Amino acid sequence: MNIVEASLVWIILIPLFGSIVNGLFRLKSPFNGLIATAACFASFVLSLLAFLKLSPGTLLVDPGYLWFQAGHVQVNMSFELSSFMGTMLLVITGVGTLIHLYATSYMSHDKSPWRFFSYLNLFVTAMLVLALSRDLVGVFLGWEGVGVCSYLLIGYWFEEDANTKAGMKAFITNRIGDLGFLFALFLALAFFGTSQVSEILTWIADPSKLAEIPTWVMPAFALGIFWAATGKSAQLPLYVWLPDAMAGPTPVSALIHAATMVTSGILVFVRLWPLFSTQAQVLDLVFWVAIATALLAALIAITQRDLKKVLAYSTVSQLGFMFAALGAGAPVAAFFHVVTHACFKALLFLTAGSVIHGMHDHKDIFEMGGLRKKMPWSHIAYLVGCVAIAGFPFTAGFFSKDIILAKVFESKGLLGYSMLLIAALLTSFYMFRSYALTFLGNPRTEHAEHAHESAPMILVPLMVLSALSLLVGFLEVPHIWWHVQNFSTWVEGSWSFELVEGHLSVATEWMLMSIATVGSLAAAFFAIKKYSAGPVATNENTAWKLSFNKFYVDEVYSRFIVQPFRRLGVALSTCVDEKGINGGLHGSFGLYRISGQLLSVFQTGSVQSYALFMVFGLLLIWGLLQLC
Amino acid sequence: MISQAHLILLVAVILFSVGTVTFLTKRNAVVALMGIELMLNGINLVLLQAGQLHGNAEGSSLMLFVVLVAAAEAALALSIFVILFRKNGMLILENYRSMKG
Amino acid sequence: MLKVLLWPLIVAFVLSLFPKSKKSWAQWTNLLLHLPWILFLLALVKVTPLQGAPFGLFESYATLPVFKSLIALGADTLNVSLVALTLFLSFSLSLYFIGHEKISVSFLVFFHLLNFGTVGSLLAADAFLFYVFWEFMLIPLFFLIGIWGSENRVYAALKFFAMTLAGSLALLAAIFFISSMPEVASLEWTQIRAQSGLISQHPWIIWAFLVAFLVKVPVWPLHTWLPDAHTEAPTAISVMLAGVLLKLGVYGMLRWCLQLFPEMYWSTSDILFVAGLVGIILGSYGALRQTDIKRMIAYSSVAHLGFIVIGITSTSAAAQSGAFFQNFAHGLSTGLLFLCFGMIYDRTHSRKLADYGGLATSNRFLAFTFVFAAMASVGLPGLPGFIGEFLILSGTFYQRGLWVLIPLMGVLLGALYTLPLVKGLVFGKVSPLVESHPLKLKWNEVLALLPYLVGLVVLGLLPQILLNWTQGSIPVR
Repeated sequence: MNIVEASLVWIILIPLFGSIVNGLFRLKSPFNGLIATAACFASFVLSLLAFLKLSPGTLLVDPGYLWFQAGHVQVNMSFELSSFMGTMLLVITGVGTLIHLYATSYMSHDKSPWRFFSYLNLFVTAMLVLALSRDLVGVFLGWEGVGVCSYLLIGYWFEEDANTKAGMKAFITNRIGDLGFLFALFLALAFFGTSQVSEILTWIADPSKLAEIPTWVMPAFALGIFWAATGKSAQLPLYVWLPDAMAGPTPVSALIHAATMVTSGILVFVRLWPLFSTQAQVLDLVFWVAIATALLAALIAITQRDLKKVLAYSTVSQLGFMFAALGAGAPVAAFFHVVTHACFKALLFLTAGSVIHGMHDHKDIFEMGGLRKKMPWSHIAYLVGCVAIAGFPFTAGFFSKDIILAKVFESKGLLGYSMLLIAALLTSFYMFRSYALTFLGNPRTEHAEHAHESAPMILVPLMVLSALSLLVGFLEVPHIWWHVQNFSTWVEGSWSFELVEGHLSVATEWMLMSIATVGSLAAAFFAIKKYSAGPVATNENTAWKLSFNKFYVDEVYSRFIVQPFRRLGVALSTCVDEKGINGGLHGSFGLYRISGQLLSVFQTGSVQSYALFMVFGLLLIWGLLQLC
Repeated sequence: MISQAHLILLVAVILFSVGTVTFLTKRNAVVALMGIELMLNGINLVLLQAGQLHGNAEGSSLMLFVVLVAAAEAALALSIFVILFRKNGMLILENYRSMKG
Repeated sequence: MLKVLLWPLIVAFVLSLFPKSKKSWAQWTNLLLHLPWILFLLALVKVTPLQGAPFGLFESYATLPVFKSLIALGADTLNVSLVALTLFLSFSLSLYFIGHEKISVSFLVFFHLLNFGTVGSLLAADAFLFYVFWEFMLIPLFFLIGIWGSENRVYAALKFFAMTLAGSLALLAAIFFISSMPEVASLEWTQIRAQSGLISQHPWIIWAFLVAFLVKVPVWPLHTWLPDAHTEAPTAISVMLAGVLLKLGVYGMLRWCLQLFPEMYWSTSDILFVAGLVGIILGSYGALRQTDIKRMIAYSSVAHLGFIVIGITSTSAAAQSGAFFQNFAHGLSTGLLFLCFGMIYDRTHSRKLADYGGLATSNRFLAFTFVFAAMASVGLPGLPGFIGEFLILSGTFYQRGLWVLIPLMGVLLGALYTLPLVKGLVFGKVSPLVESHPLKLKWNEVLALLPYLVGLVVLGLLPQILLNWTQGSIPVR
């Protein structure tokens, strides 16, 4: 590793200043949005400058300062940038800038947009901390920081109870995951003696040191991180918060709940890849959890009526794809999908926002239809997004999904592959279903009739993202087409160790590629054919009901985990505190009172009886003295 | 044969006992006060005799002190009685129970 | 040192000269008289040695005629840092006092007597002197809660008084016993320490010492006075209780148990650890079931102090430093929660969570501050609560392995009870109660809140300032 000192801290601080300025001065529209956009853009420019200094094998390091140190714990607030994170940095600040620009117009009619932009810039800050920190504790700072911003932004329209509740659900579900992260940190500090990523990686590369620690440590560490990732990156069993998170404003859904924050689990995995690659069983678990999530979410998405819910479940499903790639031992493929997904999912969400804006805040796709003519630009953008996510040839999703499917086929065999393939086909189906219901056919309601195209400031980011969604895949074309693999070389340069590379035969690769392509084209065609005239009268059979009601996962959690947990605790606390301790205390108070009352019988108030007691007392003492 | 010291102590005990019984049994406050005075006199006799036995003036001086205090106390008590009598028209001890908690 | 100690007494005397009607004069004088106090403290901080484990600075003034005790004060970073916390809270509260109608002259006098007791028991270097200050503290506190509290104040004051007094009597008995031992030359701290081995032959002594402190901390199951006292006490006293007085229990455990009788202390540490664990879980659940906001915050204190207890009963240096750090984190964050809510309560006079809602609409600054304090209390990284909890838990794992999973649940429970509080108070539609009472803050109230915000940010991002300063004086096995 070639270490170069560089000042990275400003990339983080500028959005923070943006946040503070907006928060303190409560700027008016559009200045609040413009300031925030400018801050994010400045951060993008700095990131780009830093990026240009990178090459595979270089590490930009900002030494920072000693954050805290006591006993065996020593944590630095320092930052580093590798070629892998450099790419992500551009995604965060670049896509972030576009979304800020979009939001400037989107939020301009809100009551207090300055608050929105303050949160949004703060989110970018936290996300950058997560991406750049050298130390895992620093990563955790960003990790929880993005969680809080997500909480605040989901509940941004706080006057609706449902929004605040969704925010709370996100926060608490993520906290459940974070316990795993904390546990992994304790393990790292206790056994590896450090929580700095590069030091951990050096440490585990030394077999003599590994032999000294108990064998359960490494799997436990990996599981802890994975558990945290199921929270933040919305995998089974903790994915339930993400669909509810759609209560937030749409730019938030695009930035936080599609492009950046939800991929942070994958980012941490990829950074620690040399560690995970030694944990085959954990990766197996990751793989099957991911497959289950991808399928489950896709199955839910095919019946949803809320446009944003469709996209949310789609995000969960796509995150499943990324984890499946990790489970199959292909971190680069997973990260490549992170990048492409950031482009087309941000595009889809922003377009959905534009549509919802045009529809006067109606989100039900059954009430839309025929928007193709009313909102031509949004229509094109959404179509591009759908094409890209479905993996039509030469779009971003085509390349990234193809690599994942190939890797899965290679290392996990037919069963895993076919399940993931089904999820991919379902993706194509439900995306084109939502496309057909929204844009094709004739307007089905008054609102759809009067829908209007959005302002240019909203459309420009859509166009940029459309272009990216179409082109970004060419960063890494399949090796059977061209032997130069830019993206892999670039990303793999971040680790100082070799990935095990095995390639399928050319014929197999061509076969897999054509199956997926033909399949998704067919699914898309089928969906358009079925739904272009409007919603099909649903026959409410059990399967449909299960899917529409999200397999009752929320209800099951609430009934069998949350409620018992809460009731038991509250009952226990009431019993012990109120009845037990306080009861005992009051009992002892009562004892004093009763004994006092008994003794007060002697206090008659009559002088003579007192004198009598005195005489008896004297006699008693005299008698006792006689006895002794 | 009973010595003089014994005799004096016996008188003192009798005085004290009579005083005690008077104080405990009489209903009239003034009589009860007289009982207390008798008890004090019993004590004074003991003090005098003890001083003589030890051959110093401590007993006599303590006796003088008690007489002094008793006089003051009697004056105070009697004045209280006067006030109580004026207020309530009686000095029956049993009826005064305001010391009850 | 003497100046720092006596100044609150002098202030109390000066304030007592004010006639009843000159309330606002007294409030201003009170604020101004804090300034010399701060200067005295700064001078003390300067001379307190950085690594001065026990009593880098020691002053003895006179010998008391009883119990072989001295009037002696000792300072090191362990207690001076807590004196600084006391002063910080007292100063911010006196900003809050200005113009407050309920803060009368006598309130201020009692308030400073309380400060006198607090600083005295922190600085005392003699067991008997310590006991005197320790008990003296109860008197002003009893009146402050009993006179200026809310509806149930008398019950709360009596309960608090009875429980703490019962605890300290055991301490007094132990002190008598030690003073009666012929080998012990005097009750001065180092003299007792010199005979530690001999005293340790009587294992009951450590429990007698501990009970006094455990009630004060409070450690489960001796905590039930706290919710009542916190709830009924006036705002300023809730802040002082959470901020400093509970910390005196922790300080007592460190100074008068751990440092004094290490062997005996460590033999009890497993029991205390379990009590801490139960405190975290039951305290959190206690907070979860409350409908009264102040009670909820009070129970959250029980849970937070549970963390501190498992920290100081750990042999890991990280956990001990973390626990001591958590004293300050909790002092600031919970103090801020109480103060914030106190300002709301001053206007609305309701403690029921159900009555509230929409603070974010009616007063943004208060809403921001409250959310900030809540996040600090939840232990969000970047704020000091995280650093304390992280160090404690990490040290607990280091020493006790998987036991850490139980307090780790506490981290989750913290979010479970705090978020509904934030939701009910800050978010949602503006409730009728909030709507009918204008929540505009006065300038001095804003000024009173700001130091907490600054303190939390500084301690969260630069915790090493405090950790470095106190590290030397925290004992490790």
